[in-house]
Amino acid sequence: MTAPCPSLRELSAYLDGEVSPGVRAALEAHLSACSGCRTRLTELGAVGAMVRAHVEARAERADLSGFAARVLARLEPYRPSFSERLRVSWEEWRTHRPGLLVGAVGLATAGLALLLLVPGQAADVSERSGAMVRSVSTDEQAHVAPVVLKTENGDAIIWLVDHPDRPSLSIGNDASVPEVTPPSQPRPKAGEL
Amino acid sequence: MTAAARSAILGSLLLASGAVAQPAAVSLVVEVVQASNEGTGVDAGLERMREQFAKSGITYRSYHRLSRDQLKLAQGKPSEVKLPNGKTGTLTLVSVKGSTAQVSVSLPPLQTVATLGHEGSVYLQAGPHAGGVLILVLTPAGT
Repeated sequence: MTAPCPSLRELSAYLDGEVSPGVRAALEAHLSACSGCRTRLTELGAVGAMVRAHVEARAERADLSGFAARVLARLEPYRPSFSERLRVSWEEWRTHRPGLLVGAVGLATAGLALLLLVPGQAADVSERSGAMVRSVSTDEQAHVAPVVLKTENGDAIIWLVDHPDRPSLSIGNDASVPEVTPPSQPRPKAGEL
Repeated sequence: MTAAARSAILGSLLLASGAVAQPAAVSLVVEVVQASNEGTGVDAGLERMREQFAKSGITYRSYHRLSRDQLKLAQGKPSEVKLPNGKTGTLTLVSVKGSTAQVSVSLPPLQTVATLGHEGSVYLQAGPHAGGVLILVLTPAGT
């Protein structure tokens, strides 16, 4: 008794190698005895080859320049919420950098404790910077000019030097006064001003 | 509420507002120092000043303190400092912010505004005197 002829779908699956070993054996037994099915299988294989050749030819002719850019342009960027970003960051740190995480938490705690327990340590920078000259000037008629010297101890020296060319020279304004090195020639001398 | 109670409360409020509105004040130590190349000697407490001046390029052989006073500056009320060379320095407290005070100093021909904190002094040249030069030293009291 001869088995019934397989359908085109079954022959196509056979050609593509998508059938189980049992089905393959049964199909091959049938094909060996049925010339009609062998012809259909040959034609099916030829059609498949033609289709593949046609598709490949079209693909070769296709202009794919900028394809990736066009695809990327159509993608909408994924913007996770703040809580999600926080959760992901936390998981990353906890999983991959547990030591750094412990260190960071420790540092933050220490800094907070320092701020709370030692008030004024961070805020009193101006006190440590010593005296600061905000503005200095001389009268219009005076033939001397002020020079501001900042010492390493935080003191400020305001000295007057002879300045015959310009009756008055103002240094700085409300903002700050630049540090001025004392003029090397001539040095101010006692009693000459 | 009785009239007496109302008066007491009103008085307390006025006193409280007066305390809040009281102008700021700071205490300064004001020294007048004569620096000179005639003679030698540095008065006690002026060694640091001489050292700082020398490092800044101002060298004198002697430093003598002519006066030392503690001055309480109230905001907006000028205080005068008479100098032995006839000059007068006028100090005015401009403002107090936190623990720093802005002080205006008029010492003709010089006008300056300086900020003083807990540290540091301001040295102002105050003109010639007796073969040397006078220096007005302003230091926050308690330094």
